[in-house]
Amino acid sequence: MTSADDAGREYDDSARVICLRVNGRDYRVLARPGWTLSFVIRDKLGLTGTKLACDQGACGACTVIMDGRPILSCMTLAVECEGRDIETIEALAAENHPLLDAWVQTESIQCGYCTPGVVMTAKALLDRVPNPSDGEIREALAGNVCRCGTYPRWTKAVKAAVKGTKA
Amino acid sequence: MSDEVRGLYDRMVDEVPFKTQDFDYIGKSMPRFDAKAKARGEAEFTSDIMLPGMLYGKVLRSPYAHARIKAIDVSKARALPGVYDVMTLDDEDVTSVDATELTAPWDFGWIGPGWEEAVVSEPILAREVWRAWEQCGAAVAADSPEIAKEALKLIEIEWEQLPMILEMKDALVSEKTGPFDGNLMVPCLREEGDVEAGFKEADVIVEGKARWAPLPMTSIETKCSVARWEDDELTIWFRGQQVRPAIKKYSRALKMPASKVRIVCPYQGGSFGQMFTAGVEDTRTDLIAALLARRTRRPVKIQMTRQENVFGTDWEMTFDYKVGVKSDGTITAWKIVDCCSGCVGGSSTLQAFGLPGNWARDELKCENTLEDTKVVFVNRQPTWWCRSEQNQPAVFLDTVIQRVADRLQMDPSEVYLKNLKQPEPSAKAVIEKMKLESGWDGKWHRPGERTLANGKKHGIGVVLAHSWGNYTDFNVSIGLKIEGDGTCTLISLKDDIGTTAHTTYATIVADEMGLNFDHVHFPACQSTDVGYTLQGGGGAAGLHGNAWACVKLARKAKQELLELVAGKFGEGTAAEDLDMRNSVIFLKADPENKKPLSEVLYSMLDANSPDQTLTVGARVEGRGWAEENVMEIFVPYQCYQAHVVEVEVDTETGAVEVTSILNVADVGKMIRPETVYGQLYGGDIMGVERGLFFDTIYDPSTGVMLNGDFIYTPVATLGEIPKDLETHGMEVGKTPGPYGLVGVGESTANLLFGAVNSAVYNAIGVWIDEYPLTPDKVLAAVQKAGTEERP
Repeated sequence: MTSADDAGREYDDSARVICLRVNGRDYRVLARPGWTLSFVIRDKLGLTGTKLACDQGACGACTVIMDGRPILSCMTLAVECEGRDIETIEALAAENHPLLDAWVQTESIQCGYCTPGVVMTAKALLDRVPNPSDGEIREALAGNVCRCGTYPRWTKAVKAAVKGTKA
Repeated sequence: MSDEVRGLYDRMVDEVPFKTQDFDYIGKSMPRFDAKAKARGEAEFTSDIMLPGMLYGKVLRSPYAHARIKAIDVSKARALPGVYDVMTLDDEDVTSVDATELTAPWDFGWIGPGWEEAVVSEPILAREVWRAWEQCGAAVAADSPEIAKEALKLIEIEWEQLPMILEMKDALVSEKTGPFDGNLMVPCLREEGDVEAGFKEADVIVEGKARWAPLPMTSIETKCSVARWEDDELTIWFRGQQVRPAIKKYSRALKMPASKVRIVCPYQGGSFGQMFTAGVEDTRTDLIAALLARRTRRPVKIQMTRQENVFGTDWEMTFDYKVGVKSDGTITAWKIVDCCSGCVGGSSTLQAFGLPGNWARDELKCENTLEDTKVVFVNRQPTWWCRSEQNQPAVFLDTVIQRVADRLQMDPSEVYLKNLKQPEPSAKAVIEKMKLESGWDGKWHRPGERTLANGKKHGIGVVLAHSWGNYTDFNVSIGLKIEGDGTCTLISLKDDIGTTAHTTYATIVADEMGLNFDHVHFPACQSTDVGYTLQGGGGAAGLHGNAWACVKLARKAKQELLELVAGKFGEGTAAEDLDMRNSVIFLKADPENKKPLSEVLYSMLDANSPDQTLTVGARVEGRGWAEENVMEIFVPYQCYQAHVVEVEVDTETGAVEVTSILNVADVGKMIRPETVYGQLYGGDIMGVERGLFFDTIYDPSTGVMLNGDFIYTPVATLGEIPKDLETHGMEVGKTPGPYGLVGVGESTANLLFGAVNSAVYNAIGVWIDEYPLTPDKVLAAVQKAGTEERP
């Protein structure tokens, strides 16, 4: 659907209600076609645990899990996510997932802005590979940027979470 | 420690005596206050602020590196549905802003005469732009970022393009392109001793040229401002490192009382110098958000995109050096002729001034020195410190030592020890530890001599310099509030850029005061409503100055507390008869006669009284960098760091892989070791980027910086860092900070790239004189060395 401005230039003015399933809850949101999933999650649903850092799919800060796979919510249009099952850091916080405690105990956190995205990527890894090797951890988390450089702690943190899960 | 420093230090210790033993918490890594909230995604950053009715702002950016707006038409943008406001440079709100203070210079005392002329005040929406992507012309507020962006595209501008200069060498010889009288800003010549005599005394002369690449700024959370007005009171949710100074700048700029400007500082997604609120682009953004909010009477948020966020880069530096050295490694004279890039960024350009030779001048015994510095204006991104302004001095000192060591076939660590003014105790201890932990003596080999089984060349390098931190700078203050249940809250405005400084300060207060650490809290996100302020992050100086205030507060609060409760221990008991540890108050003469603080206070409170707390504050006077011009004597060279890097160089592709990093850092005293280690490995990882990939790339035809994002600036990830990254904190030297502590985060990032460079040299046998050491440069060097042999 388009409208025209005073100069007769057309612009996309279509917006529609979409249904999103986020952290087990169904939301109905009025969304424009150009809105990204990260914008809808943060600005419309108020779930600000998901961060936006590069907005170009290069840093992993906006990672959420969709249908079991880690995806970059800044590179995903919200309208594409109808009927999908989306999990954000708030779901992990609600269940007190062992990864959170592991991240705290190993001090894999400095400024903390990248942390939710890294933890979500690690969660997707553990869902797929319950007891990953160092190499699998490095490969899975190699797309997440941490400018403070907490990388050396991440492998330890994921392994600590594995132990936490078993306990 | 010089006599002058010793005198000031002794005076400070008299005023603020600190513990020297029996630590309960200092030296242990107490749990950081922010960790759980950050892990859970509940910590609120500036970018997370969402207010009812909030609009999204965007600012027009210049497509040219040097141009003037001749005419602007915003009518189409205004008419776009969803656009609330379009503000232009001609609007009175904009023209009435007093921008003079936004670029107020910081005179650190080392700047040569004439620097005032180089400070240029720019309007917040520029008419004449000095660099591509500069905020200019107009700003928009709309009900989504997407519409705001759309509206910007509808703004019609008639531009007059002006000549631009991107390269320093061109700026030196060309017509004026900057706002100054010529492109050359404030040359400075600094000569000490007799350089020519020093060169004559030398057995060997080492000469060369080198280049330091300007680093792009890359903190992970981009610049964000959220502004809201309630009548004539302004609140700004702030993304920055220095909160309190913003009040002064913004109230003056908007010509309103400082008492009606309130700045809230949520958690900060890193900074690394970028968000220091002295650069022109970030202060502009805050003010543009404030003006849009005042015009629309709605809260307005402006968040920069990743590309917009590269509003600052480090200074590019090219330099010619000449070093005279005796055959035993004693340096007799050195000379540096350097040229640094500048840009209209207010004070930022001046920070470079006179600096590149500073470390060599301050650390080395050699007294015959000459530094000839030029800062030239180019139409590039604003220049500003990038963890930190000490990169250039580190590059020069390292170049001198490494090239001398190489020429004389000496171990670089021996050249350091031979030439340092103060090799003992710290530098010597650090080098010993470095050799032990790295196996240096067994691993170092003659350049180009070791080929690994995988066909790659092995190299190892070391770099050494001081841990950088300033003694104490500004006036700082902190308060403490004790509740009726005995729990305490520390009150002071201090940004949190990731080092959990708040936990460190609480550690000091709990230890000095005798409180149970679990009963102390220091909330990170406070606002200017709080009257107390600590030095913000930056300059590796926060702890150095702020710790004095924490100790002073603890002493004062403990005294007042014990005076308050003395009566509970029987008539005639005085505060002096009591002590407290682990939040239990006891009689010194009879430690078994004790009462928990919570119990004592609880029984004293009047439940109907509105004020049921004990509040105490303490302030420490800064010793002043600028006014006393004593910077140099305050920079302590008492604590050293050594970094060892091993690399594997693929001589077919030019790729360099850093396979191990060892970081040995004497930090005087570790208050919270985990924070120290975090700074060490974090700085090392940045150092790898600086050594191997970081540079800025400009389109020569448009002047637009092409790699201001995370795709074309290849930031290090888990895939690039070595599995073997070891950090060792040591407590050998003593600086003039309380407990002998020194800042640690800056030097690490300033130093490590030098070790990468010398490791690559050790691998291939040819120096690469230009950072970063990208594969093309490595391949060219390999060809030069004739080391293309196959295994």
